[in-house]
Order: sequence, then structure tokens, then C-alpha cells
Amino acid sequence: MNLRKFLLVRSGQIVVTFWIILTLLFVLFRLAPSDPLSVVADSLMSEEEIQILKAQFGLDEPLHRQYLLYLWNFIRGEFGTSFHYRQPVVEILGDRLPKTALLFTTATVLYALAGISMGKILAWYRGSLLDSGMSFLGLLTHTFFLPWLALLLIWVFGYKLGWFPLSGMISPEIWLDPESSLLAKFMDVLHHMALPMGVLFLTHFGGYMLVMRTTMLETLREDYILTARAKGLPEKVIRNRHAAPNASLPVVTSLGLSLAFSINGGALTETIFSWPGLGRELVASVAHGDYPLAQAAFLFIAAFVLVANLVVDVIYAYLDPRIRY
Amino acid sequence: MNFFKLGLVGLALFMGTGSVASYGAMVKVGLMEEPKTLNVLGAKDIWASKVLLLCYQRLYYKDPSGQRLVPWLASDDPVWDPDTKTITFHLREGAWDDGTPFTSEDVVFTAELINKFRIPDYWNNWNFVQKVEAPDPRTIRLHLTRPMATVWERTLTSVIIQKSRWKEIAERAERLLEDSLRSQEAAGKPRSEAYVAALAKPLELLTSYPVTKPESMGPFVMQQWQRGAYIHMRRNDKFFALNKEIGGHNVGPYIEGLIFKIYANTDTAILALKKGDIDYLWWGIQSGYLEDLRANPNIRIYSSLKSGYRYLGFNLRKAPMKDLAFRRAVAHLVDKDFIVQRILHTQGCRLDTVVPPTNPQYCLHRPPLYGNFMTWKERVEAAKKELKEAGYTWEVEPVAGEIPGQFKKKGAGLKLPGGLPVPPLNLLTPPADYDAQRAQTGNLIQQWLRDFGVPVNWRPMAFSALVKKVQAERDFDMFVSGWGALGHDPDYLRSFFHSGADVPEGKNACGYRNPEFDRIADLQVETMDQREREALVFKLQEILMRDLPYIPLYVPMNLEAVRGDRFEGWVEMPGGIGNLWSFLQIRPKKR
Amino acid sequence: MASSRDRGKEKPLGGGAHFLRHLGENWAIYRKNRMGMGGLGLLVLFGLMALASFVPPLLDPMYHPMNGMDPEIDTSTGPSARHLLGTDFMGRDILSQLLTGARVALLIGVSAAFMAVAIGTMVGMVAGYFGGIVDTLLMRLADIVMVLPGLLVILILSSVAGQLSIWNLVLIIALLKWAGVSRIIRSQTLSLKVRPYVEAARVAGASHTRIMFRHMLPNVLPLSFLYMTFGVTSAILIEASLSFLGFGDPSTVSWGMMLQWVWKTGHMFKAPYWLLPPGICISLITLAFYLIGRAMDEVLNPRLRKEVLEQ
Repeated sequence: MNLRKFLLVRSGQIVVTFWIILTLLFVLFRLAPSDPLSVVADSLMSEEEIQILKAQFGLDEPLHRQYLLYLWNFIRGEFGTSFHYRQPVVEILGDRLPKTALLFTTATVLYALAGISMGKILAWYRGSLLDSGMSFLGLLTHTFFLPWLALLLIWVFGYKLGWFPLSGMISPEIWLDPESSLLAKFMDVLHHMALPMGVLFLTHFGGYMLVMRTTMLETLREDYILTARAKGLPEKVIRNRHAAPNASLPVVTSLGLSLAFSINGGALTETIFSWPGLGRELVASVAHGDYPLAQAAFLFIAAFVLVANLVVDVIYAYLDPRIRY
Repeated sequence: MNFFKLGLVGLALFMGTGSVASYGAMVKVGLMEEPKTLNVLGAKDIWASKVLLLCYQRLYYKDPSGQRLVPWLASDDPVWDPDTKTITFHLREGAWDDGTPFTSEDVVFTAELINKFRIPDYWNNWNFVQKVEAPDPRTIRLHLTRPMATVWERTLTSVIIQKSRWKEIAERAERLLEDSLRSQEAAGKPRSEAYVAALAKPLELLTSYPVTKPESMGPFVMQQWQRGAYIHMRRNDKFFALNKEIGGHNVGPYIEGLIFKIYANTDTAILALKKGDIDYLWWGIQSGYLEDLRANPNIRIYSSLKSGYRYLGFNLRKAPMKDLAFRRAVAHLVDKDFIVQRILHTQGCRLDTVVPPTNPQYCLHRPPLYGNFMTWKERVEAAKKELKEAGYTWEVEPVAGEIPGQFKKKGAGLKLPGGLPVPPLNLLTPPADYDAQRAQTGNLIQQWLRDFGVPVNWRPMAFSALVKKVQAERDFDMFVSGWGALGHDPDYLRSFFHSGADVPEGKNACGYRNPEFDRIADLQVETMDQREREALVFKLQEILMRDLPYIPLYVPMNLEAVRGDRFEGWVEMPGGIGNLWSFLQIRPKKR
Repeated sequence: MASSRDRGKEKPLGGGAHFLRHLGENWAIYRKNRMGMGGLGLLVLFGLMALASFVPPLLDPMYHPMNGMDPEIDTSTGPSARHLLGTDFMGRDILSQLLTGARVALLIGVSAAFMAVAIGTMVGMVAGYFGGIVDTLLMRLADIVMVLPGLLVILILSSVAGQLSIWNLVLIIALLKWAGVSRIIRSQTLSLKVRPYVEAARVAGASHTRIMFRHMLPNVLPLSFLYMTFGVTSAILIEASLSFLGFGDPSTVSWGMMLQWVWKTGHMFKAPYWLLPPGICISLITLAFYLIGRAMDEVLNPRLRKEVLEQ
């Protein structure tokens, strides 16, 4: 089947791309005149102690050996120890990854589906008050600067109204109390997730909605729609079963293209809400000069982006029978 | 659309939750970051040290005045014998939290571990201890290679770890070390280099060993660590001073335990304090929050001077900073009272020497003063006089105005003796959001100097970049920075100003080289007698304040907020109320 | 009867020469587009703000956005006669910071977008023109660059390189954003490559450079220009996000910096006069360029589509 071959080719491309990114990172970190020690060794340490630290973090070997060691470590899954946490990097990232996945995936699914549904409806009710109103709203929220919107939401809903927590993922009260149920803990997480998801939702759904609306309008003009109408099929069926699937294709593509944008947004959101995920860890590790962690966090995210792109391509290929690589 | 309605309803259900379970007499303490690790050998961050403070105890500990050391794990004062170069003292009876008795073996083990593996941050304090002898389970004798005055404040206040807990790891590290050493020597390296290189792996093992339940001889013991959210500690019933008197003070602890809650930013933490989710925020708060918090009847604000200070540093390797007359002129212009008034809003005090006043034993009482009791006009004139006498000239000579900081005529184009113009200088500070006070101080000094005719530019930069430029690259002209919490022992003067520290990565960023200073600095560190040493340290400060490699600026105040309605008995010490004595003495408030 | 020379001068696809010749017409069409005019209006407003940013420090040194020190005010205060938008935590004037932010935003946005488009156009033309392995390599590279989340890449870079100055940042943004443009330009070049006048030029012995720069470049420029408007927003948002996170150049005052200050100094809940203006400005400038881009798209595309049909 062509799909299998397509998958194979694309997976191969991903591996090559990833290797290039790996190498670029290595070059960046080793050749740049940086000084990782100045952040770790900032107490009253002697020069000898600093030398020991240098040896400990392997900053003394010749370059080519470092590169091979670097690749080998990566394949083994050995990402080193974080300067800052003094813990293996894999452990830290392993802890953060599910939290990002929870927030990011839920948000993405929500705003993509919401955007597509809304866009579909708006195209149908083109020209109405609903259409102009929602289009305007979508455009407006799409252009909001994400960090600013986040701060505003925290101010209004967290501080002034007190409806939601200001930051974090869980409340110690609920999680510490041995009597609280699993349901209570689950609700607690959802409670904390509300504002970050709100921010991600507002800043992203507008884009999908507007694109879907445009492509839907174009699709509705196509011949086969006229035919379906002439056949006497109910409007709803035409809209949902004939027009929408085809109109969704460009939206799926734009999902792939805007992935970089939404990952940026994810990292910003995590940082502002102190959501303990990969994005926030990356930002924090850069701020601390924690190279092993920063590098690995970045690689995790890059891998995610590449795989996500593949998934989008597969969805697209699946939806559009005309495309078979 | 159905999704949404459901979602909205669901969300509506969650609003306004957040009931607080009752904890009995548990103190809830807010932290701004999670400890990176609870491995006492590897922990470098301040959050870990706060938590570990309650577990790991020291042989001697400072009393609430912060000036005296009282025997803590030790039972009597240490005795120094200059002939044998030994220090002898005895240990208390006590047990670790798992019931194992505390003996001299634990002390010997700790010292040997530190010395064999040269554990960073600890080795500095133990590397002159040649041998630790334990004639019996309650006696310790330290053999020093040479007299080292830092032994009192630094070595004897070192934490002690439990031998039975760490023995296995130590043995593994030892085997790693032997293997590494063999391969290093096989590669042909000389012994000393081979040893340093071989330490890498065993050190990594020791310092990054995951410790989630540190052993404790302290008042509290770790109960649970929920990553990213909180740390729960309960009272240690085996604490050696439980409900006893120690160092002349009655201690408990009188609370069931502590919960450390981690907050992402100050806003969240302060809100939590106002709501009562925490009782104490263990971090200084910015003056912007004061008004708001003071208005709250349940909140008390404590202020204490920090045990560090802020200063203006010069790069003595470049002109005109290397010229004493220039530094003296700058010292006249810098109006420290103005800085304390306007930038610190009086939350701090001026400083005229390189040892902070929180260390009254070693702080020079009458340092040389520059520009004190002078009006602004007089300061400017004095500064001008210094420069003119040294041969400096201006294109446009500055003329002071009435108000401090103002100039009737702004100066321009200062020229070195010899006629060449002073090159454009940079004044580095941390960014405004990192420390508004340092940034603004730098800004202000830059303006004064610029209007005085010195071409200087204020360059705020990220703190780590600043450290790199100043310490590693020595690429700067002037900078405003500070030292956080300096210990009681003033040997840091030697680290900061000895010519031997003027090496890449060394702390002598200014490049100060004075053989007289070096001689006295080397002498004071070997002077075991307190009075003699004090005299030498005073002399060092006099030299430094005469030569001005730094212009000390101010000592900032630490502002802390506590709820006054739940607990009472906080102990104020230099550095704040977040100290061991507080947690040993606070009691639930009677209603 | 048209000679082959005449035929070569026929309107090529998306014609640059055509575009310029019909500038008046294009402008008339653009003017009718209400959204486009709205966007343009906003842009003019920001341009005026940027120019106005030079004025306050001249009025009184205390209005300097970075170094200003009001002798009487050294904390954050609300709007007053002296400070129309109030002061920040160091007593500096917020309005002059806002105006400077406009200047910084436009400077960064336009420079970064211009460089990105310049690089992207070159790469796209070279790839499309030479084809073969050059094309494959360049487009592979473009794929990789396009996929990476720009903000995070810059974060990693700044962790290594230390403090990024404004101009370093502009360069790096350009190096990350050229990929999207290059793909479009490449497709354009591919279709231009087979134009008769290009064939003619090649037969006449013109060098590759000459063909690319004299014949193709003018025809891809309108597309480049269009993509520039998209790129400006991107650059502004990246700088704002970086400054907000604390990795910006601390010696510049930008809107992102202002947001970082209000957040980090704990005034988020207390100073709406400080929190609201920078965010509103960033959103409005994004909106402005979006509207302009959309309008220009509509102006150019019908032309493009019409040309294809006519040929």
C-alpha cells in the first residue's frame, strides 16, 4: 500500500532531519565561547574545585571524541546530568513530558475542533450577524499577544474574581490530604488547567475558524455541491458529509504549518502559569545555563514537532485520496 | 458546540474550590522554587539549603545574635593547641532519626569523605585538616597542617552526615575512584593531575545521588516530597535537644511539622499569604508590596539587614580606573545617602567598608569617608580637586547646581593627564527586573559621572552574562554588583583582593594587586587568636578603603512577611526570621 | 506581427514590471478595501508614535524611557498631568516608553522581515533556477528551518551566546524566517524559468546571474513584498516574547520589556495603566499588518490568477 511507503520515506526523512539538528546543537554548544561553570560555581569555591567540576562535566576532551560520545550517548538515551538539578536529565524530562502532553494536546484538540466547527457554521450563515460577529471576535483574539492575554486572564479571573488558581498544576491541600479521593485530585488538575487552556484556546481557535470559513465558502461553490442540492439532499447532510470533509483539508495543512507557532505559545503559557512542563523547563534551563537539560529539552520538543508533522501528513493523506506519495 | 456547553458547565462547577484541610500546628512555608535536590553534598541552591537546614546539623552553630558560636552537636568549646596544631572537643549524646546513635565515627567519616573526594564547597573548609582522630566515641581531635583561623567559622560549622547512611555510596565511589585513577595513570598523567581527573566520576556519583529522604539529627525529619508542589516535614522525636535548653535558650520545637509549598512567582505567593494558604513566605519581598501588606491586620512585616552588600567595582587594569585619584573622585561624587533615600526608600543603610555591619566583630568602626557631611557642591568641588591635582583636564569643566545630582554646567570631555581623552567607559549592572535597586544605582552613578564629564554608559545585562564578563573575561570598566550572604569569617577579603586571586575565574575581578595587603591577608588567616586577628582584619579594611578597588555602596534590607495570627515567637537574626532558631521556638498562638 | 523579441517582453506571470506600471490602478483597488485601509491607518499611527518617541526626552530629561529620573516620583504611579500614562516602578514615564516601543518594534520588524525576505528570495530563486541537487539540498534545509519553533531556537542560541543584542536578534530572526518565503519564490521561479524570454536570454548567452537578477527578480518581487508584511509581525512577536521571558536586550525599551517589568516587579495586579498599553499596542500592530497583508493578497492574487488565464 502506498501509505506504507509514504510512511517509510517520511520516517527516514525525520531521522535525517533529527540527526542534522543534533549535530547543529553539538556544534553550537561546544564551539561557542561559553562558560557553564560561572553559574554553577558561584559560591566561594577554590580554583581547584572548579577544575574538578570541569573534569566532572567532561569539558576537557578533544572535540571529535566529544561528538562521537555525544551521538552515542544520545542513542543510548543517556542525556547526562542536569547542572542545576543534579539529577539525570531523562528523569526530569520524563517527569515533565506527560504534563505538557496533557495541557498541549487537550488544548489543541479543543481549539482545532472548535475552530473547524465554528468555521463550518459561519460559512453556512454567511453574511449574518453571527458571521460578522464571530469573525471579528476570532480575528481579535487571534491577534492578542499571548503573554499579555494570559496576564489579563490571571488578573481578572484569578485575582479579582478568585475563580481559578493563579498558577501551578495542583493544590497541595488536596493532594496532601490522605482522605481526598481520586476524583477530587482529578478535578483539582482540571481547575488549574482552566486558565492556561483558556489562553491557548482564545489565541488559536480564531485562526482555524477563519481558514475553515474561507475554504468552506470555496468548497460550497463547487459543482458537486450544486449537484447534491439538486438531488434534494437535506442541507445538513450536504454541509457535514460533503462540504466539510473537503474543506477540512487545507485546515489540516495549516495545523501542521502552525505547529511551530503553537509550540511557542505552549512554552510561553507554561512559563506564565508555572505549569511544570517541557516548555517551562526549557526556558528555565536556559535561564540557569543548564546546558544538558536545555539541549535535551529542545531535542525532545524538536522530535515532537517532527513526529507531529508526520502525523499531520498522514491525516492529510488519509483524508485526501488524491494524495499518495 | 455541544462540547463547549458541557465544558463551561464543568468549569463552573470547579470555581471557588480550594478548601484548606486542617493540619493542627503545622507551619506552612512558601518557597519560590523547588529544591533541586536534597543531596546535601550536591545541593547548591538556596531552596535546598533552607530545607536541609532543618535536617543536617553542625558541630557548632551561631546563636540568635549571630555573633557567637554555641556548641551544637559538640558539647563543649573547642580547644586549640598551637604546639600540636590540634583542636579538641567533645560530642553530645544523640541519635539519628532512624535510631542509630550519633558518634565520633560520623564526624570522622564526614571529614574523610570530603577530603578524599574533594567535594566542592566543602573541601575548601577541610583541606587543611590533615587527620581527624577519634580517641573515643565522644571525643574528636582535628590535626591541622597549619594554623587556619577559618577553622572556627567554617570547618566547625560544617554539617555532619550519617556514616551508616552514606557508607555504601562512599565505598562505590571509592571503587570508581581507584578504577579511574588507574586508567588515568596508565594514560601517563602525573599523579596530581591524574587524581583530579579521576575524581570526576566518583564526585558525580556522590553529588547527584538521588536523596529524597535525607537523614536528620535536627528538629524535623522529611515525611514526603511531592515534586513540583510541596514538601512535608514532621517533628523529629529523636532530636537531641527536644524540649531542652541549648546555648542558653529553650527550644522545642513546639510545632507538629512544616509544609513547604512551592509558588511560581511572588504575586501568587503573596496572594497565598493574604488568603492564609501559607503562614510565612521564606523569601524577601519587594518594597512595592509593602503598602498592601501593611494594610492587612493579620500580616506582620519583619525587616533585617542582609549579611551582604552592594558595591561599585573598578577594573584596575585599565585607565582611568587604575588611577587612584580617579577612584577617589568617583568616591566623592557618589552620594550614598541619596541612594539609600531615593532608590532604597530607606530600606537599607550606607556602607563605607568591605565588611557589612551585620558582622560587628570585624566591621571597621571608623573607615575613611569620602564626601561625608559635604553638600553636593562641595562634593563636586572635592572631586574636581582630586582630578586636577592628578593632572586631569576637561573640555568643559562641570559646575555643580543646588540640588544633589544637578549641574549648572554639565562637564564634558574629561582628559587623562597627558592630554588623551578618557575613552568611553561602560558601567555594567544586572537587569532592572533582576534587581531594580542595583540597576537604578548604576543608572544614577552613570548620570552623575556623565554630567561630571566622564563618558560612561550604563549597560544592564543578564546576571550570568555579567558574571561572565566580569569574572571570566575581565571585559568591563565598572560594574555594580553585590555579595549575597557573606559568612561571619572575614577571610573572603583574601579571596576578593589577594593578588593570587587575580586569575581567570578567580574572585579578584578588579585586579587589585598590593603586596602589603597580600602579606597581611596571608597572616590573618593563620592567626588563631581572635583579638590579634581582628586587628589585622581592621588593617586590611583600612588599606582597601584607602585604595578603593571597590566603592562599597549600601547594605540592602531584607523584608519578610509573616502571618501574625497563627504563630508567634519568630527569632530575628541577621538575614531574616527564616532561621533554625525560629523554627525551634515558634509556638501556635493561643486564641 | 509580434517578433520573438516582442513576445519576450510580454507580461510575465505576476509581472513586477506590470505591477509597477499599474501602481495607480493597484492603489485604487487597495483603497477600496476597507480592512486594508484600516490596517494602513493603524500602521501610520504607529509610525507617528515612533517618530514622536524622540520628543519627550527633549522636553525634559526625566522623560527618557530608560534613564529618566523624576525628582519627585520614584515608584509606580497612575496617570497624571506630568505623566500621561503614569510611571513605572523606577519612576520612569510610561508614555515615552510606549512611544519608544513603537520605534523599536517597527525597526526590528521591518529589518528582520526585510533580511528574511532578501535571503529567502535569493535562496528560492537559486533553488528554482538551478534545480537538481542544489534545489534538493536548499529545500531540505528550508524544511528543517521551517519546522523548528523559532522562539525556542533563539532561546537555545541565547543560552550559548549569552546576551543577545537587538541586532543579533534581528539577524537570527531573519535566519529562521527565510524558509517560508523561499518555497513560494521557488515555485514562482520554476514557472518563470520556462518563459520564452528567459529561454531567449539563455540562448543569447546571458549569464545565470544576469538572467536571475534582470529577468526573474523583478517578477518575484511583488510576492516577496507580500511576504514581508507577514514577516514583520512574526519578528515583532518573537522579540516581544523573548523580552517578556527575560532574554531580550535589557538596554532597549520594547513593549515586551515593559510587560516583563510590570510582571516581574509585582505590579501586574496593581497597575492597569502600565499593564494594558503595551499589550494593546502589540495586538494592534499585529492586527494592522494582518489586515494590510490580507488586502495586498487580494490586490495581487486576482492579477496573478488573471495572468495565468490570459497566457
